[in-house]
Amino acid sequence: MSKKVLVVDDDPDVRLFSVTVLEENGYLPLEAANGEEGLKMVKAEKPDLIILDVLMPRQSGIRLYREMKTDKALKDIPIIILSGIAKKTFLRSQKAMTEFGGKPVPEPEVYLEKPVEPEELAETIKKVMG
Amino acid sequence: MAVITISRQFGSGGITLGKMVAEKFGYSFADTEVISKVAEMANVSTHFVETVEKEAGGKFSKIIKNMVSKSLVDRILKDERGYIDEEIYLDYLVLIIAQIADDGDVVIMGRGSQYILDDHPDAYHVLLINEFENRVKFMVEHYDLSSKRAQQVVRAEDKRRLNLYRKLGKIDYDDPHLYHIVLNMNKMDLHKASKLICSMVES
Repeated sequence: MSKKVLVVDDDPDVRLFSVTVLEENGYLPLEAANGEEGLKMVKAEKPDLIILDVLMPRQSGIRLYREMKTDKALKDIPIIILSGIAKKTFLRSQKAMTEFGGKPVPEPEVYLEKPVEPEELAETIKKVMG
Repeated sequence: MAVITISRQFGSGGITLGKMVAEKFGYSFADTEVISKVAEMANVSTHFVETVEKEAGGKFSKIIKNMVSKSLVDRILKDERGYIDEEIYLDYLVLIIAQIADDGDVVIMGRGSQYILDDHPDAYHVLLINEFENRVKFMVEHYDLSSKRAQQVVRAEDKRRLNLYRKLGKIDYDDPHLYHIVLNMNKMDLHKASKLICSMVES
């Protein structure tokens, strides 16, 4: 059975890009347009991997990431962050969130800065999925 | 590529000083721009963000969080396409300040930036303090307010500052150890303060 990969991004073009890469490489893609919708799908579908954007309306990728990484049942699902935000900025923001009383969270398995080539995304997914 | 954060007791001249320092170095000045960016990310109006910020930890946010569903809020605020509450505000605030700082050459006004950028290698953190009476006087002189109105504004902003930092779980925001320099604006004018900050950054 194909492994399920959830793509969480508010930009339909980026979702289409990731979904195409996933389908071409034999995965079963699922889609969500924001963190709130994404978290519901994570709980319902238990995907094998998540490709997550950071900046999204309604609920950011930061919140979804932090909720997942502090939830016993969800923390082991690997996450590839695919964002226009620089990695160092994201990591600094996470450190600040912890400073402001949040639970510490590990760094994401992989952090890719947009734009990314389809080959690089496919290769990264394969690597993370083992 | 320096980043200068200015925290202040409201009415100490922080915005005026921040603009002076930014102009001297040719840096950008980030104050209301931060709110605009939060609004842009959350897809809501700047007014909505300002309300959440002003009421951080207060009645408005508690109502939203505890009693009212998002869909009801959406109906009440039907002109808003997105949504924001304290948690979302904080997510974006932290990210935006981190991003503005990483872009560099900027003076950032408050909003917890001294904590967010605590270990930023290029950041200088400044705190301005002054007596309540002097801060009221500053507002009267620089913002054309009556004395009574200025007192109300300073008190309201002190409360807003307290609430915001409470939301961030911080009460030590006036602790000098957080800052590179603490300027007592009771003892110097804005030009002297600007010179001190500039020479610190240039050295």
